[in-house]
Amino acid sequence: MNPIATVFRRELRSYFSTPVAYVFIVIFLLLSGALTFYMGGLFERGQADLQAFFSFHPVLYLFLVPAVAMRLWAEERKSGTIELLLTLPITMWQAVLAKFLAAWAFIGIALALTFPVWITVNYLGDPDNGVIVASYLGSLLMAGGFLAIGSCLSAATRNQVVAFILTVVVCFLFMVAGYPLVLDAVGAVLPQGAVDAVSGLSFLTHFSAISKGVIDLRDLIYFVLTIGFWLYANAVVIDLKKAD
Amino acid sequence: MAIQRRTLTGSTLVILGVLFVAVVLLSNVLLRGARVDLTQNNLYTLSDGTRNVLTKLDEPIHLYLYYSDKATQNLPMLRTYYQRVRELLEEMAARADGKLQLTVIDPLPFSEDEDTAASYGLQAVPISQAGEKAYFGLAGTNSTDGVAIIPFFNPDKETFLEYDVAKLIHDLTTTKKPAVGFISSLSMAAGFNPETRQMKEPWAAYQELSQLFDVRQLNAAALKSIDKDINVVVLVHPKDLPEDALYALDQFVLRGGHLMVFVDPHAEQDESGADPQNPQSAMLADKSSDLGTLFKAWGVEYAPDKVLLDRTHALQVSFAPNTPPTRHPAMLGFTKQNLSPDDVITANLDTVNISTAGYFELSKDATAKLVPIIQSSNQSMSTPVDQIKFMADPSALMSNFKPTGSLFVVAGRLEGTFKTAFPDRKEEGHLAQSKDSNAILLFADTDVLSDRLWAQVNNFFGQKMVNAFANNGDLFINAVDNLSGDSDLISIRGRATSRRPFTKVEEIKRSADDRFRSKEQELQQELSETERKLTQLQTAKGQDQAMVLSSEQKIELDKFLKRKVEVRKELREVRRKLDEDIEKLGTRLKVFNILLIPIVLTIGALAFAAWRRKRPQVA
Repeated sequence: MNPIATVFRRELRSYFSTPVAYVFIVIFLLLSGALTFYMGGLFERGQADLQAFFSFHPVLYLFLVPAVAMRLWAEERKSGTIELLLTLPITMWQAVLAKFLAAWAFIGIALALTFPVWITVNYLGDPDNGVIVASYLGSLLMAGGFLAIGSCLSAATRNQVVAFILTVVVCFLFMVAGYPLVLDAVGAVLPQGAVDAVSGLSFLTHFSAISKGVIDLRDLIYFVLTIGFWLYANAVVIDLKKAD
Repeated sequence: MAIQRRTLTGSTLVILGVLFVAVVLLSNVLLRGARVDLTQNNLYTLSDGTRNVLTKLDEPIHLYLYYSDKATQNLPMLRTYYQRVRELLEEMAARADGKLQLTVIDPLPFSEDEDTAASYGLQAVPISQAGEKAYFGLAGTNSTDGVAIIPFFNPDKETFLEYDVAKLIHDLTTTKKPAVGFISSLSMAAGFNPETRQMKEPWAAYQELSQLFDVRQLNAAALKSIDKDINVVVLVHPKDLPEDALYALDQFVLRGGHLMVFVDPHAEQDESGADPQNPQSAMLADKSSDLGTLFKAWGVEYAPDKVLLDRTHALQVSFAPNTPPTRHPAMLGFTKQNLSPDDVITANLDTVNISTAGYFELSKDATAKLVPIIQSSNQSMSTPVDQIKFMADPSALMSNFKPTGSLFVVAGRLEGTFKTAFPDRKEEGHLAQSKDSNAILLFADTDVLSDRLWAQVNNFFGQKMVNAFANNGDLFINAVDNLSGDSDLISIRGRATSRRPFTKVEEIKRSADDRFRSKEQELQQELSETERKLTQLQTAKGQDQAMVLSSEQKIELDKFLKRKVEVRKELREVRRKLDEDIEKLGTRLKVFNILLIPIVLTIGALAFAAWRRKRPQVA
C-alpha cells in the first residue's frame, strides 16, 4: 500500500479520536457563522452572494489554522514519536506530505460543513454559484498555504505555543504583504524590485482574485508554489533538527 | 560532518526561497490569459460583441493606458485592478489583427507624458490624504484625429469595464456618429438654470446618448421636415405639437425613418405651471403628453389621463423625512419577468424603474401589431391621473386596489405598414402610406429617463461618475442603438449588472403587505369612526351650552378615548408586524447557519464517545 495513503489515514483518524477535532470544527463553524451574519450582515445586505462569508476567512484562518498546524510536528517531537515515524519505511517528504494532506483534509471537512450558508443564499435568491465554487476553492487553497507555513514552523520547535505564535506572525505577514504596513518596512531597506516581489506574495490579493469567480493559472501556481516551498522547508527543518 | 550538512541544507533553503519568489513573479508576468471563468455571465471572458467590434476595425486605433505606477505603490487594490484592465486591453489588442496598438505609459509628475495625458483630457485623481495624485485612464486615437477617453477606471465599475472599453473603440471606428433627431419638451440637455443661476447638468441618459450619437435638437415649433441624414428621431413628452411638426414626423415614419416616442400621463419632470408665487399652480398643471393625431392614424390607443398601478412591482418610497417608506403602486420596479426576453433591447436587462406610467392598446381597426417590450404583472389596474396628483399617501391606492388580471403594455414595438394621418395634404413628395413595414418604439413613461429612477451621479475624486442602480439608461441607449442599427454593442451592454436581490424576502414583503393592509384599513376605519363619534359628542356638548358633562356623556367619552388608544396601539402593532416576518426569517436563518451543524456535531461526537466507552475493550 502507498505509504502516503497509510500515514494520511492514520493521521486523519487520529484527529477524530480526540475531542479536539470536534471542538475545533464547532468553534470554526460558530465563528464563521456569527461573523458572516452579525459583522458581515449577510441577511441585511439583501444580496444573494457570499461576500460577507468569504471576506472573514483570512482572519479566521489566521488563528484557527495555526492551531491545527502547531501540533503537527511539535507534538511528535516532544513525545518522541518522531523517531518512530522516521524509522517507518517511508521517506521524509512522504511523511511531511502525508501529515500535511491529512491536516488539510481536516480543514477541508470543516470548510465543507459551512454548506448551510450556501443553501441559505440559494433559498433567498439566485446567487452566482460559479463564483461561490471558485471562492470555496480559493479559500481551501489559502488554508493550505497557511497550513504549510504552520507545518514548517511546527517542526522548528518542540513547544506548541511557540509554534502557534510564530505561525500566526508569519501568516499575518504573508496575508498583509502588499499593504503599506509591510511594503514601507521593506522599501526602507531594499530596492523597488524587492518591494514589488513582496507585494506579489500576498495571500489576500490572490484569494480575492479567485473569489471573484475566475480561476487564473497564476493564482493556482502561487498557492501550489507556496505550499510546495514551505513543505520542502519543513522537510529540511526536520532533517536539520534530527541532527540535534 | 553535521555542520557541513547543515550549511548545505540551510543554503538550499535560502536558494529555494529566492527561487520561489522568482517563479511567482515570473509566472505573474508570463502566464496571462490562462484562466477558467466560472461566473454565470462569463464576466471575465471577451464577449462576441466585443470580438465583432474588434474584427470590424478597418483602420488602426491606438490606445494609451496611463497609469501612475509609482504613485500607486501602496494601493494594492488599485494595482490589482490595473492588472485586470491592462490584461483586458492586451487581450483585445491580440484579437484585433494588429489594428489595435496598446501603449502603457507611466506619466511621472512634471514629465512630458503627463502633459500629453492632460491634453487628452485625462485627470490625475488624488489618492492619498497627503495630496498625491495618480493617473489611471485610457485615451484612444484613430487615424483621423478622433480622440476618446475613459478619464478614470473606477474599480467599482469593474463589471462594465469591457463594455466601456468596447464602447470607446467603437466610438473611434465610426467616423461619423449616427445622427439622432431629438425633440423634447423636458429640459434634458445641459443648460443654464435661470432660477439658481448655475449650469444645469444634463440628464445622465441624455448625456450618454450624446456621447454615442450625433444628437440634433429639433425645434418642434418650427419643424417643417426632418433632414434626410437623420435616421432616428427621439420624441420625448410631446405637448401641443404644431400640425407641421406632426406632419414632418408622419412623413418621416412613412419614408422609413425610425421613431421612438415617450409619452406620459404624468411627467414628474414637467415644469409647466411652476410659479414661485403660487406653488398650487404647478400641482394643478397638466403634465401629460399625447400624440393623438398620429396615434389615431397608427391604430394606437393611449389615455393621457390614466395611470398604471401594479401591486406586484410597487417600489418602496419615502415621502417625507422621518416617515417609514411605503410601497407605491404607481412607482414600479420592473424585473426580468416584465421585460421581453426576445427583444434585443431588453433581453439583457435586469431592472427598469418607471413612475406614473401610462399604457398602450391597439384600437379595433388597427392594422399594425403591438409587440410588448415592457409589460406589467397581472396584479395591475389603471386609475385616473388626478388620484396620483392629489393623493399624498400611496397606501390609499393600495387599499383601493382591484387588479384587472390583464397585462398592460408600458412599452412596445408597433410593427406594420403605416398610413398618413394627413391624407388631405398635397405637398411635393407627400407619402400616403409607407412602402415597407416599419417599427415605431412606444414608451408610456418619460420619468423612466430621469436620473432619480436609475442613476446616482456623484463625484469620485473630482470625476463625474454615473452609478446605475437600474437599467433605464441601458434601455434608452439600447433602443436608440437598435434603431440606428449597431447591435454589437448591445450584446456587451447590460450583461453585467451584478445585483442579485433576495427574491424570497421581496416575496415575503409583498404577501405581508397584502395580509396586513386589509387589517390596517379596517382598524383605520374604526378609528375614524370613533373620532367622528367623539367629535359629535363634543359638539353636542357645545350646543347644549352645558359646561359640565352628564355622567352618561362622560362615560361615553371615556369609553371612546380608551378605544382610541387601543385602536392606535393595534395599528402600531400591525405596522410592526409588517417587518416581523422578515425578521423572523432572518433569525431562523441565523440559527440554521450558526447553530445547526455545531449542535448536530456535538451530539454526534458525544454519542460516538459514549458508544466507544460501552464497547468492550479488546484485551
